[in-house]
Amino acid sequence: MSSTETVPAAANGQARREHATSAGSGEVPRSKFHQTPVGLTIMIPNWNHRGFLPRSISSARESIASIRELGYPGEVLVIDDASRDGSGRFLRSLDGFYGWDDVSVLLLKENIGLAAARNLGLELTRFSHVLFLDADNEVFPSGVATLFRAALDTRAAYCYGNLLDIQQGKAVGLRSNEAPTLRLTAENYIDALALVDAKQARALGGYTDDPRFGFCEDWEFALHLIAEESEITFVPTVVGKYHILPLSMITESDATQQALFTAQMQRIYAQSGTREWDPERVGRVYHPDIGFLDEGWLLDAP
Amino acid sequence: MSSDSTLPSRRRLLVVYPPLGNQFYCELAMRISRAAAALDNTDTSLISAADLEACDTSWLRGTTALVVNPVECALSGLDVLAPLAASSFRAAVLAECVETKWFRNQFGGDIEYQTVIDVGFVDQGSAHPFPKLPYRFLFNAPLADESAVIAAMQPKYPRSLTWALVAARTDDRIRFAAELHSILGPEGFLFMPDVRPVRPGAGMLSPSALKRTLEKTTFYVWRSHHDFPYYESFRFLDAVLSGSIPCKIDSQTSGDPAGLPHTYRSVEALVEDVGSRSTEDMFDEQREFALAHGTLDGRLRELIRDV
Repeated sequence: MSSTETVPAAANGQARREHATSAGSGEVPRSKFHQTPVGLTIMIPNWNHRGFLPRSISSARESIASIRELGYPGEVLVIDDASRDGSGRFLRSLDGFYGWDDVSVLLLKENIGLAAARNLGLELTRFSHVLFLDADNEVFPSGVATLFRAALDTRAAYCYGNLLDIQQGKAVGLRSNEAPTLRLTAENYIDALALVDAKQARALGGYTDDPRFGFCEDWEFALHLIAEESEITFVPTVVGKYHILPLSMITESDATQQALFTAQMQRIYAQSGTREWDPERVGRVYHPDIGFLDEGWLLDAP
Repeated sequence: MSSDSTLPSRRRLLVVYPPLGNQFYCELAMRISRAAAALDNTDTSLISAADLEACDTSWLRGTTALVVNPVECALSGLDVLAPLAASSFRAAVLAECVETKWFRNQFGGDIEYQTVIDVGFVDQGSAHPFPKLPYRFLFNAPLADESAVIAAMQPKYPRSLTWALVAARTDDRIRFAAELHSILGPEGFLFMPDVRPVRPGAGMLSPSALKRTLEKTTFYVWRSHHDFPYYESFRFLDAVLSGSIPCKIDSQTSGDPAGLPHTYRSVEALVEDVGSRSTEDMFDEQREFALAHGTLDGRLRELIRDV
């Protein structure tokens, strides 16, 4: 496990390394223009979610083990966005106690926000793909492995699968549960917990930190990918658990603000009145054990 | 040479399907049509409800019309079925639990039906809510060619996907999916979009996509979206024709009067059964059930003889 402290550079918002500590195999050099072998980084952006980190990190490590069983390398990258709840100390103590070689930690001295933290993950990944896991959620190893296989098979920019909403230990909802259709311009049913082709995502500028999109940067990101004709694919497997907490982002943004974001999003991306989305790229359903599943209609029609 | 009057008159059977409705009902209409094609002395036509207005009234006169899901047919227009008033006999063909609103709502239109044909595994005549409308039960047996396929199948297990759940999202089914994941295991296929018609372009699974999925799946599991006792016969056929094991979970099931295989009170009960015998044995049981009730062609022949 390597632990690195960074601060965001004021000029461009990009992070630079200022101080590094290493308790395990040492810091692995990362560069913006590094060669990226096929593999997976599970990136956990954290801000004041210390209490949930053991759960998310543990599930991420188990998932990386499933990726390694497939014969690909992987890592967990935790970026702490200048938390004030002791997350930094906790992450350092993990480093001290365990020295995991599959976990890297970046401790930011200044808060840069969720979108910028995710973009930092896209920049610093050592591998071809990044799965974004919010610190209060968790992933299932088999689900992550299935997503990863789907991403390799399809070369999609963005793959996602079912997330069970969990509240007080019970399954109370389901999200990221269907293929993207034009309905996505009216409401966001695809969570940020998704597996992204880092190169394609970087080429499109990653997540926007435009404050007008507030809590909807993941929604904007998905619509941006679609607008740029990148492939976005639903994988019908159970990928993880979305834990609904009293302070989940869903409840942070009030209805009025949400309506404002939605109007903003539709103004930009709901320009499809004259044409449907390209069915070859959007609305795809794929499972690596089966193949594409959004085909076959013409033959079936009476 | 015989004169026309000495020839036996041929029955004209018109199977009407809903072009804008759920693809399931198109499949049902196609199956009925294929079964009817094997009937003696019968000319069968499969027609979209939207095309009925183009039919010659004199041609419709003397036909027996089998209207698959009148409500979904009406999606093409409220009076789209009106030309069928000229037909000599009309039957509504359904595959629903008779105690649900989806069944009751079928008979609110202007067209009168002489009978309702219920396609399924269990006769629901005793619960049929319209005493003045004759009820006829059509056992949803495999078609003749499907029977041959089922008889010859030798599926191997385990398959790459342990379970598959394909249904519209409801709160009950979300809990059900979580149960399947934790009890049957994580290697599952979960396709549970928000409810809407299964149609091309709606982001739903096509029938052929479902078949390809089930060919990789050991257990095809489901539960009803209502609380009435019912068995979804088409799910059984989808599974058995793909070599998958159809497993209905029904917490209110009481015994097994109809001999339906693999109906369980809970996922735990399914696991218990799986632990007590081989999956191949389970498939043999459902194969036996599927082949023990004749063919849909034969069943339809008996039913049509009566109407």
